[in-house]
Parts: sequence; C-alpha cells; structure tokens
Amino acid sequence: MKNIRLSLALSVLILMLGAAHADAKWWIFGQSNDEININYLYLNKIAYDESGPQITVYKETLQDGLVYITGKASTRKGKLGGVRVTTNNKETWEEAKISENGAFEYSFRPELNKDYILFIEIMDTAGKTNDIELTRKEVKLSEQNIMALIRETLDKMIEAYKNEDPARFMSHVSEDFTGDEANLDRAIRRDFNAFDNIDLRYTLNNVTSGAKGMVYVSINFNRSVISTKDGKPYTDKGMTEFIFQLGPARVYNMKNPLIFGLSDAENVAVGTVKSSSGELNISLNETNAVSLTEDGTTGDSSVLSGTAALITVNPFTNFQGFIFADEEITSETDGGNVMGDFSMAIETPTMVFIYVRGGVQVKKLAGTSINQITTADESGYGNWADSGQAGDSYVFKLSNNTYGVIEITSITGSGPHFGNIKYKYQPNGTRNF
Amino acid sequence: MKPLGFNSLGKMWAILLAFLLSASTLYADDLHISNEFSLTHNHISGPGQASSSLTEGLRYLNVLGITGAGQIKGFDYNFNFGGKATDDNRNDVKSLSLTNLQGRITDKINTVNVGDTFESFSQYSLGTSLKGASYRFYDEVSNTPDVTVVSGLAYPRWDNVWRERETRTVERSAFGSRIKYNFTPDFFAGANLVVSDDDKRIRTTDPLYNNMVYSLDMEYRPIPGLTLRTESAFNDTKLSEREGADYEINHGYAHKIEAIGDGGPSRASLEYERIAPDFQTLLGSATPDREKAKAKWRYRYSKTLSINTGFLWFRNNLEHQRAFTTNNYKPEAGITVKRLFDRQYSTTSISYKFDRKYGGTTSASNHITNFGYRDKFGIFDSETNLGYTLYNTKNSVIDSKEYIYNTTLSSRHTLEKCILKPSLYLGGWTASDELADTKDVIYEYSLGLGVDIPDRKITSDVRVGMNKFEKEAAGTDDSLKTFVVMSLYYRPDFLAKLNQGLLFLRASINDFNYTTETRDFRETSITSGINIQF
Repeated sequence: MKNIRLSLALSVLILMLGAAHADAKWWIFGQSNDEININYLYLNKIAYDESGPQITVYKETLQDGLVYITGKASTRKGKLGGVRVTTNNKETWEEAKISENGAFEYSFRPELNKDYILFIEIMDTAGKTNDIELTRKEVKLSEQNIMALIRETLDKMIEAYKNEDPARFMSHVSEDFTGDEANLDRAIRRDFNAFDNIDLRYTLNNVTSGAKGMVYVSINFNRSVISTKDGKPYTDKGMTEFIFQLGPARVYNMKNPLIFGLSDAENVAVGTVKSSSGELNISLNETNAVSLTEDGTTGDSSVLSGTAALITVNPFTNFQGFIFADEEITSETDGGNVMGDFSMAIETPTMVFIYVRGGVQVKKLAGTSINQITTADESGYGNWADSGQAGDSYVFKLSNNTYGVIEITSITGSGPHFGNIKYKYQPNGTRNF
Repeated sequence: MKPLGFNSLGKMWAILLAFLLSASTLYADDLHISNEFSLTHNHISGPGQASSSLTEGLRYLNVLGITGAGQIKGFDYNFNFGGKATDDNRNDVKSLSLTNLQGRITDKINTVNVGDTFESFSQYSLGTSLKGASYRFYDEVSNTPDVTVVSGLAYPRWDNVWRERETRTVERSAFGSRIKYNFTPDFFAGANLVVSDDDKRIRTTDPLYNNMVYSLDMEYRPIPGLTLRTESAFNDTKLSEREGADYEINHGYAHKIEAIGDGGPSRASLEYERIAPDFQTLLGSATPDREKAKAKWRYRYSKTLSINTGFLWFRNNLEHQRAFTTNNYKPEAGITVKRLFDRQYSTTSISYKFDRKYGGTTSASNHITNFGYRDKFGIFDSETNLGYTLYNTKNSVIDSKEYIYNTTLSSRHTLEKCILKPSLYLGGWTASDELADTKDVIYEYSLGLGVDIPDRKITSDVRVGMNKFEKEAAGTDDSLKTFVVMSLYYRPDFLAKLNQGLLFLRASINDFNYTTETRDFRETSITSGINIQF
C-alpha cells in the first residue's frame, strides 16, 4: 500500500515538474507544436470543451441577458495580435476585448429562436492563428426556466433507467459526479440485473439554482419494481435530493435514498435525506435480494443477519453458543471457556446468562429491540454483562474489532429451554448495521 | 404567554417574504408565470392491487411557478415563487406546499439573497441549499476579495421549516463564510468555514451532529490547457448517537488534488483523494474513510474514431480501524467508430469494463462488455445493443452470466399533413445462475406509432407491448406484463395568446400476472391537464 501511495505522490510531483516546463503537455504526449495556445476558454463560466458542440443557454441564468466568452491565450513567439469572434458561422467577425496578459472577453445578447454558430480566432502579431475549426460551437437561447429544464432532464434519466439503457442514462451524469461515474455506471447495470418492470414517478419539492452553475433539487418519488431474484413486486416512496451542474443539466451529486444506482448505495450516494416519517425504501444486497430499509441505507451488503434458537439442557454443563462470522451454533459446557463468540445459559426465562470468549467484550442494552440498534456504541463494553430476558439486546465487540448484536426475542420450553434470538453481524469493521 | 417558536417565526418570515415577492410582481419588468394542472383517474383491480404504485380514484396535481426580474435605482433584482397542491398522498404527503421562495438583489458588487439560498463554496465545505439568506461582496473590476456569508436551515423542503407532523425532521442550522481571491488570472485561492448544529430529535435514535468544517481550495493554470485544482479540509465534529448518549468528539481531514489536461484532440484528468474515517461534512460532499485515485483519457483520433479510457481505484480502512481493507479497481476502455465500412449513418461502439472488489470475505470480479450499432437501412433507422456480463465471486455469493440483446427499428413517413412514426422494439435478457443452476429469461417487445400533425400543433404516441419474465428457481414467481400507453399533446390556438399553452392527455393500462395469482393486478390510469406559461 505504501508503494501505491508513493507512486501517486510521485505522479503528482512529476505532473507539477512537467507543468513548470512550459508547453510540456503530457496529455498529448509531449511538446505542443501549436503557435497559439489557449490557456483556458469559457462560455458563461462553463469550460468551452466540456459543454460539447451544442449548448443551450437559459434566459433565466444569463447575467445581464448576455452570453460571455472569456479566455486567455499565449503565443510561442511574439505577442498576441487580437481575438475575433463570429456568431453567424463566419459571415461577420467582431473584435473581443483583450488585455496585455492575453486574457480576452467577448459578449453578445442572444435572441430567442435564433441559432448562433460561434468560432473564435486568435491571432499573433505575425498573423498566425489558432485552429479555428476546433472552436466551433452552436449556441441556442431557451426561455425555458430552470425548473422545466430539471424536469426535462429527470424525465430523460428516468426514461433511460426504465428502458435499461446505461449509455443514455450516463449521458446525463457529470464527469465530476461525487460518487464517481464509474461507480454509478456499474451500479445502474447491477440495478438493471436486479429489477424488471421499473416504474418511477416524482414531483418536485424544491429547485434552487446557485453559484457556479449548480442547481439543488429535492423530489418526492414513487417507485415500483419486480425483483429478478424472487420475481415479486415491490413498491416504495420517499424523498431524495440531487445536485445538477448546468451546461446541459447533468447530475453532480445524489443522496440516499437513491432512485438510481441503489445496488451500490454505499459508493454512489454521498449523504442521506432523513425521512421524517420513517419511510422504508427499497435496497439491494450483494446477492440482488430486495429488502425495505430505512432511507435505503441500512441494507449494507456485508451485514449478516438472521434468527437462531440456542438450547440450554443444563445451564452449567450443557448449553449452546454462537459464532457470528460463520453463523454457526456451538456446544458449550463451561461458562469460563466459551467456544463461540458468546454462549447463552438459561437458568429461568428471566435469568439468561451471556458468557463471552476471551478477547470478546459485551454490552447489555436492556429493553432495546435489535431494529433500534443501527450503530454499535464505541465504548462501554466489558468482559461480562448482567443477566437478561426476552426483549433485551446485547452488543458484542469481537477480538478482530468487528461487531455483532443479538436480541433475545423469546424463551420457550421448560426443560430444555430454547433461547430464540435475532442476530446481525457487521464483518467490515464498522459499527454500522 | 407562550413564546414564539421557530415554527411560528418561520411561517411569519416566509409569509412576509411571500408578501414582498408578491408586491414586487407589480413592478417586475420581466414576469413569467407557469402553471400546470392535471387530473388523474386511477383504477386498480385484482387481488394484488396493494403492489400498485398508483392511488385509486380521481386525484389532482397543480404546480405553480412565478419568476420575475427588474431594476430599482441601480439594483437588479429577481425573485422566484412556487407552490404545489395535490390530494394524492403518493405525490406529496402535504396537500398544499411551498416549493420555492427566493429573492435576490444586486448592484453587481453587493448581492443579497433571501429564501432558497444555494451558495456552493467547495466540494468538502458547502454544496447544498439552505432556507436562509446570504450576502456576497465582490468587485470584479477592482478584483477585490470575493466574500460570501450565508446562514440558514438545511432542509430539503419548506414544509420542514413549519415542523408539522408529516414533514418535520431534525433541525440543522448552518452558517458559512468564504473568502476567495484571484491572485492572478491563472490562480485563485478560497478559504471556507462552515458550521452546522443539529437540534430537535424526531426519534430517540436520531443522531445529532455539531460540526465545523474549514477548508482551503485553489485552482492554478500553469501552462495553456492544464488546470490544477486542490482542496484540503478539516473538521471538528461532535456526535450524540441517540437520545441520552454523550457527545463524541472526532477530527478528520480530506485532501484532493486534480489535474486536467485539455487541448487539441485529447482530454485527460488525474485525481487523487484521501479522506480520513472521521471526516464528516454534513453540507458538502465526501465519503469518509476513502483513499482514491482516478484517471481518465478521451482521445479523438479522427473525426470518425474516438477512444475513451478510465481507471478508478479506491480503498477503505485508512487508519486500520476495520478488521480488513476492501480495495476496488474499476478500469474501462471504449472505442466509437463512425461511418464504419463507409456507411454514412453508422455508429459502432464497443466497451469493456472491469469491476474488481476484494477484502476480507469479499472477492468479486465482474466483466462487462457491450456492443452497440446504430445505422440507417433504407427507410428504417435501427439501433442494436448487445451486452455480456460475467458476475463472479469467490465466496459463492453470485456466480452468473448475463446476456442483454435489444434492437429498435423506427421510421418516419409524411402522409399529407400527418407525420407517422412507427417503431418496433424487441429485447431480451438471459441470466444463468451457475450456483443455483437456473436460468432466468425476460422477453420484451412493443409496437409504437407516433402521429404528429404540425398544422394542428398536435403530437401523439401510442405503444402496446408485453414483458414476460420466466424464472426457473423453485419458490419464485414468473410474471407477464401487458401494457398500452398513449399520450396526446395539443397546443390550441385559443391558448396561443399566452406565451405557451398546452393541453395534454396521457393514459395507460398495465396488466400484471404472476405465478402466485394472489399477486395479479391491473392498473388503468388517465391523466388530462393544461400547462400554461406567460
């Protein structure tokens, strides 16, 4: 691992050193032969190249109703002579404002229902120019407001998702997506593998456009799917949030509960919108099995869970224990020498003794349901715990720093006694269930 | 006398703001109103009707939006107001709700925003909307420091502010400030401070955070075409996990550096990120306990050939606090060729993606291959996609092969004043589960016809089809869905005096049949509505 980190640090260092040597363009394999270099170029603060060959600008977002082209250029030899811009496919050209350091700016007021075809020509004093064709861009003005734009984009994403078309869906995702494009791309493909007959509807709660061309969106959604794992239908509803980046609107951030990419919620979602009503949402585990969990987040694929019955024939010499990682019941004969992670000896239905193996620590949560324990406490564990009864839970911190929880759901039988438990185990070392 | 709580104050404040915004509509130079009203009638029948995501009966939905802009004594202002009304609980638990409330005024140096406030400082510090206010000072001409302060409540909707039973949630108040300075046209740095404080648990198990994030972000363009970006952030977090639990104190860090090379036919980016397990940003974006490296390269070799490659690696367990480390590797490569074999309209794409995850008891290797071909054959436009995915885990969680195949044929014909757009979709999916030794198959087909009458400003579409899902495993259900969907959009002349006026009708019938007959149901839905904008 240290080697990986060293390599990464070296890469960044090489990058910096490369940057210090002007014109060393590693992304085009070495030296640039361009006479004119464009340091940067923006259209309404969006990187010129990132907005694609066509861009629609929205009246609502235009500063003073104008489209601004800003950039900076430099030459290998000599000085910049001027910068010209055409908005009508080279029919007429206009001079851009240019400063001493090569920064330039040009603005024009677009009109509705008119297409603008832009080219930018940067010339040095010797008359050499940049490759003008590379600056071609079609610009359209839309009167559509941001809310309508977001609705249109969400509709397209949902349509692509319902039609299980990953390429079309990903065309609405930003390259800077905080959960990483590669994670989302693979996650929606897993969703398509896990679901059939996806249906999704939504209404907007809030749309707020902000700085840097970002738009905050909150929606209520309503969903139904058929699970390919068991063939059963599932429905849920809830509230979630998105951040979109404008240019064309592209998703920059998504929160739990997810409506897209929920098969890898752990990596795709950044943050959680807490449901006020404790609504349960569809989540997927590693085997594509559907479960309904709070906020769609607790379906941690690594958590093991289930029920077991631990039998006590004699609370001193013949009872049973449990190993979380193997989900295996052990035979126990001595509370001082436990074979499982813990053992359970039932003297009476109200006197259930929990013993732990050496290195395992335990904490009792009296009268607490296992469903209420979504995070194991960090501290407060000991080598033993008070006896319990049905309705009590115990949290275990195992010797390898993983956590398990049990709830005694009932004690049945009069001899032998059956201790019925629910359990869950988080093998990844976090305290989250 | 009972003191006014935030509920009452919030409502009063919102009403006052709404009143001011309403008053400003009288003076706005540029005012736009949009309203969409729709009535939906749903009928659900069959023993499995509880599985429908529709609400039985006649329901309405109305969405209103008002935006305006103008000038007063050298100040530019704009405002935004919106509301939603419905009696369908699946659309919203509230029958009447405020969706947007925002006002902004600026003299190009000083800017004040109230209501919905979205100040995006940096990735780690602040990137969400607040119900509150912000002030920004920046003189572009004099290149002064760019200073922004913001304060408010981090709620996803206005109804959270009133704290009514259906929509109340933990109250998260926030304050933030940012100062950014452009040292040169090629270099800027910004310092950010964001503080948030949670209060008013809804349930005893709700965690409450008191969080402070401070960060420094920079952008530098050392040579033409190269952009370097970096951000470093630190946090002081106090967390009470549940009612009665003491506050735990945590500190963490997050660092990120990114280089983007862009010029000529090539665009490449490199990124490295390291986020400590205890780093918490409640208003920004970060996944704690992650070390990540990412690379992307897009190369346009010629007008007809382009190549995309990418690589993502990340891992957890940065401070060895877990039992084991999980590593993820996700490389990918793709190529797109246009005009293959001199076919003018053809586009061919091939991609391969690998998904590797291992650590502890997990070890998964997934291979994803896709082939796409788009072309025009005579009067038909066609699009075909083929996919093969191999899911493989060493601990017998999933071991399966998935095949996807679909094709669409569509055409367009003009018949007097009508444009006819017939289309056919045929698709299938096969998944072989090697562990269970079973094979699942989905067949889908549908036939559609679009009819547009441009003179009458009518567009319409109708589609019929079926989706058949066959499962081999015992105890599971096969299913068959047959459906009809149609839509009609009409822009009548009597609404033409408005900037835009649209009447629409949408209808659908979905019939679901399962092996377990008690799951069968049928849903019929008809929606008609009017959308006006002026």
